[in-house]
Amino acid sequence: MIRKTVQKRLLLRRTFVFLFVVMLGLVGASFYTYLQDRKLQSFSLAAVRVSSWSLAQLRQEASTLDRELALAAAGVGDPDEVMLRYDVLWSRYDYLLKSDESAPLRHYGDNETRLKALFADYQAQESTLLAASAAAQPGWEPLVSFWTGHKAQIDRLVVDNFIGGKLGQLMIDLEASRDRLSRLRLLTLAAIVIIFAYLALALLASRKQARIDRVTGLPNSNYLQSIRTVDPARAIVVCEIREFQLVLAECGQREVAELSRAFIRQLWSKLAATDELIQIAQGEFVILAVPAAGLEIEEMVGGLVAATTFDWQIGDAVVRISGVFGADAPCVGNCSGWQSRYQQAHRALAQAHLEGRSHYINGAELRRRIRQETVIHSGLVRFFQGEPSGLRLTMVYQPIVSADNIRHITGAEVLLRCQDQVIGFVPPNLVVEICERYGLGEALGRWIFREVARETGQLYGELGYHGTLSINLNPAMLSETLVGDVRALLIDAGIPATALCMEITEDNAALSFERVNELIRQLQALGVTFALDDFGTGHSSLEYVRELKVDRVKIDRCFVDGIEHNRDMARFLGSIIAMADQAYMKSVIEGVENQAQWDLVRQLGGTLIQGYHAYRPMPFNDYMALLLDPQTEYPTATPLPVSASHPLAR
Amino acid sequence: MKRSPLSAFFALLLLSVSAFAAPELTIRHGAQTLVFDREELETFPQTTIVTATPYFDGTREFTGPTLRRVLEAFGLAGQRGLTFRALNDYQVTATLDELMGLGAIVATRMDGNLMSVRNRGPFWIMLPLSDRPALNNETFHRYMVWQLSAIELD
Repeated sequence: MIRKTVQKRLLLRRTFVFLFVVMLGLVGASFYTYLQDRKLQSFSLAAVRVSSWSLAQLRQEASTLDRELALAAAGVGDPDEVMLRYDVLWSRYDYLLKSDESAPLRHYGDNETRLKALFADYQAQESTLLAASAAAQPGWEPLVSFWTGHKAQIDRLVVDNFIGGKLGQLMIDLEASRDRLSRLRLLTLAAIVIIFAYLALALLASRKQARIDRVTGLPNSNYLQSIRTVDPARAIVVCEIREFQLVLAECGQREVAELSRAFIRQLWSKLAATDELIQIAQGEFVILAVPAAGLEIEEMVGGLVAATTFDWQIGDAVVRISGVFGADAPCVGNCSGWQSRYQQAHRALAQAHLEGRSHYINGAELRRRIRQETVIHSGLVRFFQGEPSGLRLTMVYQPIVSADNIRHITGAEVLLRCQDQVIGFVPPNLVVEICERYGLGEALGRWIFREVARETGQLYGELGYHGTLSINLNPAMLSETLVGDVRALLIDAGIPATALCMEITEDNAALSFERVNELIRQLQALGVTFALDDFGTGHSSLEYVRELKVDRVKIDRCFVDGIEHNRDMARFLGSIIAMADQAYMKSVIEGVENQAQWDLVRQLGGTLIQGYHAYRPMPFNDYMALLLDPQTEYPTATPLPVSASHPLAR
Repeated sequence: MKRSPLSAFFALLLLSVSAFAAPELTIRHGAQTLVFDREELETFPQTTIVTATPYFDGTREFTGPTLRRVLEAFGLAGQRGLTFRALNDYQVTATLDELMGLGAIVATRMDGNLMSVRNRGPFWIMLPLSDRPALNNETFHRYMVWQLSAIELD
């Protein structure tokens, strides 16, 4: 919480103002220092050095003259030497008053006036000096008395300049300037540190900001990408709001934001504070959560599903909101990486969608299934392309018999069988499902047509058999090419159109009702009949059934199961058969497995029966052999007396 | 003031040593000493430097033999350094290498006139500051010894 407030404050106006004031203060201090030190800039340190040197020389030269004069006054000096020293000091005065170098010294205070006065006094002594040195008995007294006073003045000038004067002041000023500069440096340093600290924090905050969804405040996909590892104890759950697009389409962005927030609240109600909830897209979330103590992953996801199923008011309407969840369970022991687990969670979500379930939890089973489906898919692709494949498709035939005579075979339903070298038996509905999913549906259909025609062609062509051949149409085959395919692959291959019965399920028909009816119409024009498979188990209304122009209904085994024990069920089956009769449709009763059921069905008016009690699905050779059995009856192209209906036996 | 015989002796001694009548430039190396007076210096080839200086407004013209010529007249044999001494007790030391490249002259005249001690004569080491502005700073100004009286080599 504290970190959050700090981050918030970073971007506040007050913080900016504070930084601005800091910068302003720094600029002010710099300007003040500049103004203060500008005065110092006019002083050349070289000039100061030269000035102090000159003053020192002045004093030195005055001392030398003083000494020579004292010697001379004591009677041991040399007048020439006194004269030389006088001249040397003279040249010093001249230098101090005239040279460029000495200008700064001259111009300070009243130095120039004092020097001029001193020099004038000094020059005035020339005659006294000459007189003193020229005399036979030199009289130094006047000169000495002048000199004593003059030397004192020189000393004072030097002292004034060094101690109270310019040089002293300059040193003080320089010291102050140095202190100011050092303070300024400190201030600058502090300001730089503050600004850098701010920039670093602001950078972090903005990075953090970029990882947060602006609408819901949850970590977003940027954050997701920054994840490197996830605790194996955590489940990875991916979820979507199922009705998200609907609400977005109906009500717009604001409403879905509101919905997202409500959904998130519901999710949080089942999550602990240590769990993570990430929004990867609108209406899509990732949850990294440890199932609560004593809770299995199934229960956890179940809880999430329950919590996120709620009613949502849109205007006057109420929409039931629900989530779809895919989960990768916490892993124990050998654990794959985060990326792979995340992918597994998405697979689970895809599986949930595929199966129309609210959730799917990924585990070894799903992984095995996905691997298996991959094997099956690639096997199918190779199989259809005629390449060597570990997978083989075959067709089996389940006879459909007359309810009156179990030996009277009216035809057969062709069923798909699939065998894989590795997996073994593959359920035919899985083959169909995989084909549909991966766009192999038409290839499968054509293969079935060809295979059936290849196997049964002779039976129908040369041998004059005329039992129905029922072929299931999967959704992909319900396309414009169906009529052409039936004609080219079946009819032209020798199967009489009138022997063909195409089976479609209610649900497949309902997918595109108009088109299917059109296909039925076109094929019926060729003489092909249609059967409605799995009648009564679909999700469509009876209205569809009535409108579908099928010739047969195949009544699902679920209406047969248990009729021998339950009279209500038997009556219900009877009414279905009656209804089909009323609509001029033949009914084929599936799943008749014992004599009691058989008898009941017969009593109830069923005419055609398909089931284990009569015959199990069998390979073509067995079907052929069955037909060849003298006791078997079957329809022929040119109807013969039943007793003599054995052309195959010839 | 009464003069003692001792002080009279000192006066005599000093008088004999100093002999200021004609300005002289003494060049010494160990025990070897050579004294040039102004006339002798002016018999050497003369070089003229017209330059501005820190000491005067405007430019001045200085004339005299080059320092190199003067030292060569003394005879250079492996000496490394030298010290300039002036009447005002100023002295400065430099290496010969450093000094010989500066184009220094021992000026005897300024603007054609002889220089008195009051005018910082009789001899003045002068550098061509205007021609070689690189020399116009304190580092080289200190070699521009006025009231030059002696050069000691070592």
